[in-house]
Amino acid sequence: MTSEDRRAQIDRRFDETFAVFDERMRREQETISQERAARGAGSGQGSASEPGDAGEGDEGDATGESGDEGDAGLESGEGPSAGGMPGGRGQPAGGATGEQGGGGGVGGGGPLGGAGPNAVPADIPDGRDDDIVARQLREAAMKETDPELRERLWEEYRQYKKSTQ
Amino acid sequence: MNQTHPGTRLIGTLLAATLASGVLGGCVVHEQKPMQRIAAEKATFEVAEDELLDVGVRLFDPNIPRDEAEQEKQRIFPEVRNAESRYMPMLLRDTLESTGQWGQVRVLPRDGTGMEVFVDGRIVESDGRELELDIVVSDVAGRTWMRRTYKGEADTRAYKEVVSKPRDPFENVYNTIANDLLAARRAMPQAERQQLRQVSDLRFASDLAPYAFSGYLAKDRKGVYTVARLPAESDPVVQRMQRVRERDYALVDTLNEYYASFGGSMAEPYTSWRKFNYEELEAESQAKREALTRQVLGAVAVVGGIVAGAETSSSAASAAATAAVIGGMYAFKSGLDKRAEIKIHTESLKQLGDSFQNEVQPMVVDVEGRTLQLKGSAEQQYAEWRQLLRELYENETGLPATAGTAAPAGQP
Repeated sequence: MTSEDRRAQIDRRFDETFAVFDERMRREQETISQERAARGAGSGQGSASEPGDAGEGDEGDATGESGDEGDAGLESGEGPSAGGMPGGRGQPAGGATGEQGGGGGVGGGGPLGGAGPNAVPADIPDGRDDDIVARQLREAAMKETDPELRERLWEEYRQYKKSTQ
Repeated sequence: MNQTHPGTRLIGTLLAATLASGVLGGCVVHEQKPMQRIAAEKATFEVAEDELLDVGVRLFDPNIPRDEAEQEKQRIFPEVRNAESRYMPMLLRDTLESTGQWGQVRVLPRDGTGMEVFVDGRIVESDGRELELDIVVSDVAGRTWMRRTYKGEADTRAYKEVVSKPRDPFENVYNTIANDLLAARRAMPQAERQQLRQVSDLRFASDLAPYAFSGYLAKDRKGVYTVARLPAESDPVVQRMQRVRERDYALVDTLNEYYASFGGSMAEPYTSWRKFNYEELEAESQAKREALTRQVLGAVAVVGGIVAGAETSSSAASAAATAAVIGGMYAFKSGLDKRAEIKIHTESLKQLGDSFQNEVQPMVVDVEGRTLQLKGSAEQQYAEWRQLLRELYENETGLPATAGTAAPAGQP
């Protein structure tokens, strides 16, 4: 067996194990997503103060303080973005196996990929009731550095939200 | 001239104080002034890519005394603390993430690695009225950024029931930590900050394939890692390593989902527990203050009445002295009654803790079980990847893969 053949053999094993791993992560995230959805349905979206809702804007308060907690456009903890990318540094899941990646949605894109904290247009809702598709669109838009493409993604997001209401 | 005997004046004052204590003591409302809010500093412009450090907030140390008597003395409910040690990092993560000042912010297991900055915490006090945390921030290169204790009182507005978007009562604590973390990052030389990502990548790689990567890092006398040189991007081992790393991020993300889900389940009952705990603690403190005041004033009135009675010769003053003694005794007794009230509050606190503990325990067991299960199966997978990387290295270089192992990234 040549070195090339051996490398190809090792790569095949890599791909197989990556596929198994990615599938496991995808299933886990799907389960968590379903659990969250069930909890949300059972408790009317649950508590607004629960961890993972940090991206929510703040209504300020009656004491005249400034709205110091304005929405940073993040979507933390809003469930997994199945089909999204592994978190890391916003890197694509890559690889030739079409792996699922996963938890990019955990922390939300936020400042990744050059999308600054003000990257969410004003008319975009907070995303707490996003389903998995909306979440993917939101994440993709937040991570997109190209302004034109980003706007197209936000438009997709708007259209999708309309269609689900 | 109408002169009043000094003894009568004293008795009058004592009687007034005793009566005031008795009448007002039961209806004093402990109002807290609105707490000034501390905002977490948010990014007002796009943060440079190489400044967006990834932060791992590790599960906190619950700091539970082993001795059950000590737990009871400190009013620590172990399962509540265990739950808090998972919940609080989520709040801190959310705070850091909301600032836009950082890259990925993730909650990690206690031994979690793979990020560039690590936050470790230890719960010193948490009872709904007060929160005290010991926080240590370090980076993947091995530097300690800060080591501080944070203490805050509850912002009681968070306990109001009609709030559209409740805040955490200790938001100020989390925001202060976030601001200090930011200040620490800013105080760091830019070159060091920018190298953290490379150090993180190389430490991860060294952990998986030390024979191939340990030479790229140097460690100084203080134990701080620096990049000695960089591997070639085209190196097949480097390329496969990057793909493994992506899976590592996915694993961290999935674990983070567990914690987020746990936090979501816990948020509501936890807020309720803290609210009621706060009320009981306040009531208990007030009862303690009143008991002490009444007993002291009662004792003073009794002694004063006896002394004044012995010194006076007028019948009016004598009657007043007798009244002071009786009033003092009454006040003293009501002070003792207050002790019974304290016991009631103490018992309520115990019941609240036990009840919440029973509620939260299954949640902790569930999240811990799932975390361990996933980590366990991931470890098997990592072992396989280690083996494949080894085989690949040997195939590419023709050299045997032998080298000492490096410490996992994030651990000195």
